[in-house]
Amino acid sequence: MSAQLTFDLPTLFACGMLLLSLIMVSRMRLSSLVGIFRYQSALLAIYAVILAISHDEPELLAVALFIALVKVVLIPAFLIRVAKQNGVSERLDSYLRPTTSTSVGLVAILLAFAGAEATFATSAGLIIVACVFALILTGLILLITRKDMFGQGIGFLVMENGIYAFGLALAGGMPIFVELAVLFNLLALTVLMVLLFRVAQKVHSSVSTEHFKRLID
Amino acid sequence: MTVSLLLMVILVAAAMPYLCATTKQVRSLAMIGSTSIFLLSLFVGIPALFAPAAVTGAGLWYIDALGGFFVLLIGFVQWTGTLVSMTYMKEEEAHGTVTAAKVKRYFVLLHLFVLAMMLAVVSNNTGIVWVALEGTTLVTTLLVGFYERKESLEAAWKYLILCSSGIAFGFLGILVMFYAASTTGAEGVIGMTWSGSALLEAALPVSVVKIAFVLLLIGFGTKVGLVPMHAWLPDAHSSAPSPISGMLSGVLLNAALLPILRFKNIVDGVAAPGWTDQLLIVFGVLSIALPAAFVLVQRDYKRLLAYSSIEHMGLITLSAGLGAIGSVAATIHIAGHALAKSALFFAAGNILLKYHSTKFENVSGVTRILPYTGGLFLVAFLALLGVPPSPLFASEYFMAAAAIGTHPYATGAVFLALTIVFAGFVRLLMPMLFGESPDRGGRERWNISHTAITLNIVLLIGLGIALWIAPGEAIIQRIAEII
Amino acid sequence: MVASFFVASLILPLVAGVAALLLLRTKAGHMLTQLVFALGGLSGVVGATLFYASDGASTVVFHTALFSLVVGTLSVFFLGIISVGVLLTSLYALEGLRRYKSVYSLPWLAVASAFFIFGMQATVMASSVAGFLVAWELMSVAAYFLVIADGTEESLHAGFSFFIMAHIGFASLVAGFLLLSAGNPFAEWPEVALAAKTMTPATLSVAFSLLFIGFGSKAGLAPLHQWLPMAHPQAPSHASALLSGVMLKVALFGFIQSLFLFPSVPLSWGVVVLVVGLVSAFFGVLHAVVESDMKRVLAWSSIENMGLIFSGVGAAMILRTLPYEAGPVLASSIAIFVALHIINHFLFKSGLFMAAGVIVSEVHSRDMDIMGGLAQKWPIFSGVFLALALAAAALPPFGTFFGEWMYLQSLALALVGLPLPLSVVAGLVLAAVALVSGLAIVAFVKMFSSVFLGRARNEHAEHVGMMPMSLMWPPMVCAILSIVAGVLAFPFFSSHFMDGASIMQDVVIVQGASMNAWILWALIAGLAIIALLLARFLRVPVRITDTWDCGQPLTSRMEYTATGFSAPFRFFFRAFLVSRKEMIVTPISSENPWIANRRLEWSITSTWERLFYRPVGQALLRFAEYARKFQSGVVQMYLLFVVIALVGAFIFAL
Repeated sequence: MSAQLTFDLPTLFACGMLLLSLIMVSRMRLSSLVGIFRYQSALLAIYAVILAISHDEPELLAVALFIALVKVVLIPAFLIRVAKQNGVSERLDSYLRPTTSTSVGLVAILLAFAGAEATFATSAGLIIVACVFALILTGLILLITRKDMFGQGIGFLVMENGIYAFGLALAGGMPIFVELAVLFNLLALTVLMVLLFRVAQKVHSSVSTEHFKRLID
Repeated sequence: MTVSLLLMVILVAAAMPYLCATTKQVRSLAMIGSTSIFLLSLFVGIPALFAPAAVTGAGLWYIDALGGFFVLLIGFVQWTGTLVSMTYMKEEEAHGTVTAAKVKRYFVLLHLFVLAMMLAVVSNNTGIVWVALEGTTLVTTLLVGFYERKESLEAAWKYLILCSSGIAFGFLGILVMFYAASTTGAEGVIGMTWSGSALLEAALPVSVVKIAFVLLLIGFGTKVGLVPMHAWLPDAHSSAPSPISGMLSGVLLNAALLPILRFKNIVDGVAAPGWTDQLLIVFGVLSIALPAAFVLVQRDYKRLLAYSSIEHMGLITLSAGLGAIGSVAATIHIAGHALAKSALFFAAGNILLKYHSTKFENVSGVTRILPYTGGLFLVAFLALLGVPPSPLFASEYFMAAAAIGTHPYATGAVFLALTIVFAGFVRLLMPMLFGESPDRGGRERWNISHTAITLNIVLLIGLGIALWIAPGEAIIQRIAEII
Repeated sequence: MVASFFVASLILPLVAGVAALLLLRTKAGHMLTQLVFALGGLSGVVGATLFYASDGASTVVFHTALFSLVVGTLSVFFLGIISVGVLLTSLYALEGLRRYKSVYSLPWLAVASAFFIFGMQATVMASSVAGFLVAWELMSVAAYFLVIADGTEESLHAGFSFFIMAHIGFASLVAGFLLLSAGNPFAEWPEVALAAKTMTPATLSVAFSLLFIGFGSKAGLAPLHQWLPMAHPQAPSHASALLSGVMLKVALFGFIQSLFLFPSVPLSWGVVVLVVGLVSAFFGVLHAVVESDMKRVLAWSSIENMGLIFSGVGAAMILRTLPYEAGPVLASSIAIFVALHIINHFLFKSGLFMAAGVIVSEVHSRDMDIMGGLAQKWPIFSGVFLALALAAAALPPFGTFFGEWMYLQSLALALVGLPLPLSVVAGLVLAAVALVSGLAIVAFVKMFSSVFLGRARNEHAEHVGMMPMSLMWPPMVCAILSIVAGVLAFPFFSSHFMDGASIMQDVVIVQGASMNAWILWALIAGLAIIALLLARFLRVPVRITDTWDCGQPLTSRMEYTATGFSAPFRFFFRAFLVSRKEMIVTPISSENPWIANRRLEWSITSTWERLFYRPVGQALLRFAEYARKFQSGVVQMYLLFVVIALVGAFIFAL
């Protein structure tokens, strides 16, 4: 296990993912969000490749390939396609303004570092763990602050990216069939989300969650 | 072996509807399919109850007494649920509310749902357990949104997003556990299996395991419906078709609780024994107290039943945190609630079909207009309230016995909340059953849904009586020891 | 031998319930069912008689590994009461329920009664905490179904009130018993008593309060009595008789039995029981005086009598612990009063409810203000009712008088014998009991006179049919038994218990606190003979003419109504009764404002409702409104809750 090396390749990619998610928090355009997600997933795939090489586990290469396939190609394609086909508006909505979102994101990063220090001070590099936590937290921020289904969906996907990265970073990868099963799950989830986007667009002509206030008490 | 056969049969049953031409064939095949699933589950579950150690088929499955118990529950409830679905869907189709294609889709989804649940309780690999539970979320989202109304869409979206996000934390917890196992030097996949974790217990690092448990509790707890992660439950369980609601409330919530109980067992061997208990007690009490407030102001009977499910999950969680007697109470409560709540939802489905409304203001005099359904509903309702000889009486009594010495104030709060819930239930449901009824034509005919509900109730009461007989007691004890 | 009779009395009601369902469609079904119930009651009576005749000790009736049923002297006493009640009411129900065939579903009513009777008996016979609680719950739920039997909104509302109170009581009982048994769910009574010896006084006090709340709420003690006057009138009359006459006694039994579990009974507990009993008795009788619904008056009277009984229990508890040499003896004589009053109240209350049931079914109303003149139509029945009303008012020669006389005597002796501060208390208690008894007389005079005397105030009352014998003789039996109780009970108790084998431990009758019934009978007989002789020989011519009527024909509307009769008492006690009188005047003619439509609304609510129930209800609703905010519909909020839960759990646990 690599000790406290601060700027080796995996850390670089982890930081890259973190940076991308920080940018994502303030983006209000649908295609921009999906694009950044695609880059982030690509970074994740490359990260997996690096781990495969450094830890000498060829299975991880297969995993990286599937990550690339599902998260970089298929999922973004589904999202963009449904947006185009159903006339979903490009402009997404949030409870916070972009600058406020970025500030919250920065706070999240600080919290992530504090959390990482408190818990996983050993192994796999403090910075990587912190980046992974921050990734999860920014996913949560997107989930909580975005006012439309798309924003929430992307937020969820980012959070899953973070958890996946956690799995890769700390646990040296899970058994391959579990990884694949999780990816398949994610794909199915996206298909479902896309289905719901379509229905929402048909029924409410928008994907905003503001319409979801009928079921109270 | 039998477990693989069971899963295979469920898969085949799921595929069948697409080969059928008419919905009548779909329904008949579904009945055959679910009956065979039930019989197979008997073959899997009953030996597991008596086997001295857990059954593992080549390390793929892990079925101990608790697992066998769950397999039996799932097998039975899916059987009665499918039977009820048959008449429900036939009636809905006759009314024109659903198309033939939708009926086919319903049965496919139903069997996939059962498949995912079964996989979650028999699998040895915790990662697969997680995938299976997330799978149930995915399949049931389509079922929650089945009627494609605005409310269904809203319920489906909230259900999907909330459960998936919540259970993602559960996955994080599994990963942390795996990491903990790997720090002890264990190789490969062992840290991700139930059987392996049992072996590793002593060596796992305490603080890491604690973090993992908290994540797991919150994560899977979202799926169980513990407060404050419960907000999706009333929406989802009331929007789904009633037979599905019955299965969601009855068995899915329990199936999500199983990993928590198994992990509790593991963590109890690592951290101080009372540590997990206090977490379970806190979440249990919260989950009992909050529905009390909502029950008082409900206007919809399916939503009322859903809030009751949250409360009962709270009772089970609380009992699980109360030591040996509490574990016995939890076991009994799991079975009792599964049977009673599913029976209630199934009967509610019949009421909905007749009255076309789930609001209390539109429904009254059920025992006069639908005597069979009304009577069955009443019996199941009394069983849920804990009137002897319902097993829920025994479980709540044992829970009180376990709690009163160590947590008197919590017990007082729980009693208060339970009384408020009873009050709300009686105030709302009794006029629905016994009030004045307008004249509606046609006497109710006994159909297979009534048979199914009766089966539920018979098993429920049989369980209530079996508790007091020696062999029943022994089996419960075995299951409880695992918790 | 004895045990088999009790087993029969347990099983037969269940058989009757099953029979009712099987014979759903047959004509004779109802009759057969009620006969089986009666048979069960009879076998219970036989069993009880045999038990006392053979001076039996505790016998095990039924035993399995997990729970068993046991009878002892205390439980057989109550079993006897239950059985007599079941016997009489089921024979009454043969005709009494048949009249209501279209209102109630008779077979299901029989099923509910079956569970109710079974539950009551099993409660009395239970030998362990778990068995007791199971039977208690069965009894309560079955009673709920009896209350809502006619499905009207009023019944459902009353049933709801009943159910909540029953459940609050049940929760208290569970908590109290489990506290005492130190968390052992399977404890038998001796084990509980053993565990209770090791507890701190604080725990014991908490357990006592919980048990008192549980049993008291079921027995109808203030402030948890509100359900009783709502629920008892709604049930069918034979069930009301059982609810008022028998179920309240089962609650009393539970309380007395649990008293024996405590290692010692401090003075303060006795004071609490005494005060609560007296307050309940006072409010009960006050409302009985003021109300005009016949069955509600009887229900309030039950509260009064149970209050008196509990005050007796409390006084006995106090006297036993006071360092006063005649204390235990006085306590024992008050205990005899308690036992006598249990029997007497059961007799007159069941009789009155059954009689009221007949009247209500003939007049088609429960309102006493519109009844009247029934004495002319039903002379014998009015004699029976008069006897029962006098018994209720505790006048000689009925048994109630002798019981209360013992109580008053004991209190007077305590007043005389105790040192100064305590004797004042005894004096106050004496005064309170006397007040209650006096008001009871008013209540029953009002009832008898407004129902039977004068002229009929509505057409139903005017044209009542013949009184069928089958409905008349159960109340008649109760009246006769009441007289018999008066004559026999005292000698029976004093002879049976002089030697020490007693219900409430040894009894020595206090000198001078006895009233020999034979002397009284001789007195009455003598007076009666003198009156007859005078009537015979001093025959005075009687002239029949109109009453002084100011030249106007007298109508029934000029008589006192029940409401009018009680007006002075309403005024005098207005601090305790919240009555509301509202006159709504709507002018009809625009020219003359004096021609108007006037509508008077008058209602009585209780102070308890204002002070206690309404605030609690409103607080609950406010709590519910506040909690509703959590389900706001905004899914982002829900997600935030998950995160908060996670953070909270981390902070809490780590």
